[in-house]
Amino acid sequence: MYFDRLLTMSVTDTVLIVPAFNEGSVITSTLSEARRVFDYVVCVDDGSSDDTYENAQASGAIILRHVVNLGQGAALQTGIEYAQRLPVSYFVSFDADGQHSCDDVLAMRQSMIDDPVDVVLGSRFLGTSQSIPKARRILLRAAVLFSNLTSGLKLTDAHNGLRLFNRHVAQTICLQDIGYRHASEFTEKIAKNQYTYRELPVTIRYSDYSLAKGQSALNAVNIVADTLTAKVLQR
Amino acid sequence: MIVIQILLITAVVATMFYFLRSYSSRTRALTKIVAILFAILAISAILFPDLTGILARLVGVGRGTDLVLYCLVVVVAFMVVNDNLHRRREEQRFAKLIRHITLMEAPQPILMESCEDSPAIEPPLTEETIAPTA
Repeated sequence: MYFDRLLTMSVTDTVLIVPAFNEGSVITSTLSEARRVFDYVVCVDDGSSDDTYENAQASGAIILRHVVNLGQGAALQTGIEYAQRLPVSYFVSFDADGQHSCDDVLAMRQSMIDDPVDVVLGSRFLGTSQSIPKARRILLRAAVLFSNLTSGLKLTDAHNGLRLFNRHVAQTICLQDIGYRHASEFTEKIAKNQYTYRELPVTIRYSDYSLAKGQSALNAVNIVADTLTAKVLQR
Repeated sequence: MIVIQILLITAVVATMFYFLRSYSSRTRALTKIVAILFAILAISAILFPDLTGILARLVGVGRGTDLVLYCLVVVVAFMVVNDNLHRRREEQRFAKLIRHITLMEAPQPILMESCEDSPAIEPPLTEETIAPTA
């Protein structure tokens, strides 16, 4: 581990925030892989009932733990609040199931350094997604359309968990929704707080594991309903 | 007075009494006024069953019972929505609490060589730094 870090230049100005709920079988490899590139990896175990917490410890990442399960949005927000204590400039939300790649994060960071914006968003449709199943592709397209309509942004992808943002965003984003709706909430906040943003192509690895863990099509109904009610109630 | 009327009035009065007592300091005055109005309406409808029929015909509904039913549907729908909002607020308060505990128990970061113009490390959260809920 130590030699790895000496051989490859590790990145010290970026923190990866990895919410994890019952990801015991993959969390070690996800975190270890990330730690090979990034000094700061913060994993938030969202009250998992399996061995996620124990397995995560071995990776050398900083492990936080919700004593009860709250939801991915809440875990992400906890990670963001903790990460602000670290001496870093860039914050990344990163999935625990291994579908995001560290190379993409490095590219996003480089893009941020070359031409600073508040948020760099990953997009599956600009890039080469390995094996998006057809049904999922249609669902995602519909989600993009819906998201653009409600947020007023022009994005090519929605509900992509891979995003890199600066400290200003970390301090002001304040994700309220504790569940899976945080992806839509994130884009809504981009519009509301007028963050500058850019999309960058990323590659998502769709394994059987991540597909099984991913949101079901029925959950789309929840997201649509919650987004609409949030719009009515909060404004 | 027939038995059902006595039973219903007792129930209404008991409900209102319980409502006003258990929420005494928290609920807004408006809610209390609504509760009292409801009780007055309910008791008059129980004492004078024809009243709902007259009201129903006034607003173009056939029978008094139907009018009561329609009102009930609206009230139930309102309660479901209200309850949902309440639950969501509680959820967020709960998340805040859990987050606070998590951050208190979080390990102190082992700092690597820091990047330039990195901000000072914030102290761990204390009671004073936690903003009260709005």
